[in-house]
Amino acid sequence: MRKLHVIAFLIIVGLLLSGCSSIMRPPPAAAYMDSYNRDDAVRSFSFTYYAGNLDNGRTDNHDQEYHINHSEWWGDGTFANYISGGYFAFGWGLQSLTTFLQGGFVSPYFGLTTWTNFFPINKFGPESSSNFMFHYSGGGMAIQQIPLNDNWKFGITEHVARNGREEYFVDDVACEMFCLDFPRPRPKFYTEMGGGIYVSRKLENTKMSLEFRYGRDIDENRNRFAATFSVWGFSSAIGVGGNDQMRKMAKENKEKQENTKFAVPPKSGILPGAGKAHIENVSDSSLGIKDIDYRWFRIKDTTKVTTFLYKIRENLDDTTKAIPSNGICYDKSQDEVLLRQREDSSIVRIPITDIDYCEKTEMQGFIGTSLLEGALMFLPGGLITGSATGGLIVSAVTTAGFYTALKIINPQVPKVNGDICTEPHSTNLTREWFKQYPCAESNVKTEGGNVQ
Amino acid sequence: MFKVLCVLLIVLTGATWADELIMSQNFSTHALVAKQIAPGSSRIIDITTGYGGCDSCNVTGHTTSTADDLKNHYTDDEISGMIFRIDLSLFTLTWPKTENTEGAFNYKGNTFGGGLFLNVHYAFLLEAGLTPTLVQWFGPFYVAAAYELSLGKYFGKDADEKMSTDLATDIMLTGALNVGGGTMMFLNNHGIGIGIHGGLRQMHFVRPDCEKYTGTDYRTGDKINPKAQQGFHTQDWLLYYGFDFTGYSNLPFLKETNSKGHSGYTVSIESGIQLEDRPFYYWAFTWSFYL
Repeated sequence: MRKLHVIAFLIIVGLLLSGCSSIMRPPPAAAYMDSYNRDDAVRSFSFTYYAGNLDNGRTDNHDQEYHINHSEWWGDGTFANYISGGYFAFGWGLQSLTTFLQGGFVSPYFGLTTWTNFFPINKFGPESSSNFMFHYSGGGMAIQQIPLNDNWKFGITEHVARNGREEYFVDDVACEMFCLDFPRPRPKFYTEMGGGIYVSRKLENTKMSLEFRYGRDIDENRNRFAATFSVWGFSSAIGVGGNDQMRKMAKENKEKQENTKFAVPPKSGILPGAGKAHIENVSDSSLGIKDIDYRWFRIKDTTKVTTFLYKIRENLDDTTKAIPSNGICYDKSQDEVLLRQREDSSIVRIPITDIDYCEKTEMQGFIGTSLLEGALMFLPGGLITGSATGGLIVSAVTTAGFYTALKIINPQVPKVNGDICTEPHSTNLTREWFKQYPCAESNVKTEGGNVQ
Repeated sequence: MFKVLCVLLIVLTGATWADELIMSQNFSTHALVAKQIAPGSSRIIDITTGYGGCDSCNVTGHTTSTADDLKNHYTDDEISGMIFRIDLSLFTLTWPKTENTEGAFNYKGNTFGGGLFLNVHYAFLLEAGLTPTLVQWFGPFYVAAAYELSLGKYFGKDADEKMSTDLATDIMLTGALNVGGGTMMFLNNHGIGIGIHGGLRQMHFVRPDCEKYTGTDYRTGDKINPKAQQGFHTQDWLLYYGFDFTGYSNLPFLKETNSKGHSGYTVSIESGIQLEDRPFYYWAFTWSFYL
């Protein structure tokens, strides 16, 4: 609880110093609907492309003192977090340069949400007004969702909103003293009504959606269209909640009490507590270790393993642990499996009764993450440099930088999801499976270094 | 974080401020303890900082006239004051009795919980007092009332804007009532709550006697001729509203987490104004912990 008030303080300060922008358009619906009844938080990233009768390219002159350039953004990047309390979801995030709050009712089939921007400290404007409506953009949306199967969902949305877009105020009068003669952005608001559809798909660890929306600007009689691509996953809920902290601390303490080994072992040498199970200084070929595609192996007795154990399913009462390996063999004389551990390639000996084979391992790739980060930097890069080419360059550099950094920092990491090792096999079936990878005859070095 | 607060306290001792605010505490944390959303919690620690005043109020009764307008008009006394206080609960009685002080998975607090509290407070620079508070929940809403009795001595400033013990008020006994209510929405699986509250509160503004220079030495440019200026004490009723955010625990994992009991914290912002003839206003920011 000691750190919680620091986080709360930062939240309040963030609220008070909110947003450089007050313009906002309807946020995507699919990730919001997926927050229903979850204990963890939905973290979503979206990119929206706007088309139609956008207000671009016009200039309004005003009495030769100033003019206003109309320039409507054709895209938005949205980062949103959602936490839920059963049928209620609360969210916050950033849409381009606008911070926003969102909340409402959510269920598997129907949702109702409203959103609003934070009220930014933006006093500039042709109207010279700082009242509420000059800074407010927000709206409401009704969502109907139909799950088609375990992986696909279809949704329909209807919305009414006060959207914002930008126009740029430019002084035309020469001034003698310090002049702010660069175009200053101003919000321009309009009322929109419309609807849309979306489809979402569940992948291994993430979900994604594609959403199409139509909006009718009833103030200026314009038609606007939006296409949104969203990707979201789940992570631990934000740490300001006392019960989130309590759940996390309880799991950590329970694992410590079970003496589960989580340390990455050193590259060589006998590890403390490894005992009879660890085999050292013997080559794989002399042991007869067979190279296979990386596969998960569920370990029933974790004391035999000295490497990192992955938690496949996290429940307080039952946690399944497994390790990936690409080198195994079956020692028929001892009825044991020799398994090469991934981190340091050391070999451990596990009785056949304490191991079970599972699915092949999928490794996390970094291409997707790097491309996503690069794509998200395209819009800010374009805005900063003032050109689409600049945005592309920033995007490419970001992609390359993320890919390189992730490769250097993180070697390939196996993907872990809750579907691994859900089908246990009997000991006889497990033995029969391992028999296809027999160890070499008269090969194994037991404790004390004697080769038999 | 407590070190930061201590530094803040030290800084504030050296800070100068003009007028004093005297007002009762925020009752939103008391409402959370009355509801027992963190079961077994009974002790409250509040730290409040606030600012208030009035830009165009006449309190002193001074009038002025000009050559263009010979008729006397009341002058505007620019009032601006601060408050910095710490509240601790001395006595807490809540009802109904909380059976599961270790927590439960579906526990959401007492629907008709209530509480009677007695707090002691200390406010800068020299004020202390007691505040009894009563809270009662009715489903999602609560009503509350608090009455603060304060005993304090408030210090004026000399002509050089330094605090002067010679210009202090006598020891003043003031009472400030705060009545209102609120509501809170809980995301119980996370242990987060968001709420609003509002009401009517009594606020005192105290300006001790002080000195001001009334002339300038034309030879040196120094200010001269300090003269005493009479202070004032005024009070008024202000309507206010506030937003609350709380984080708390109530899951039955005390043994697993090696925790002695459930607890929570609250962050609250209040703002109030008097809408009639004297537009007093205030802002207050409160941090609270309930254990």
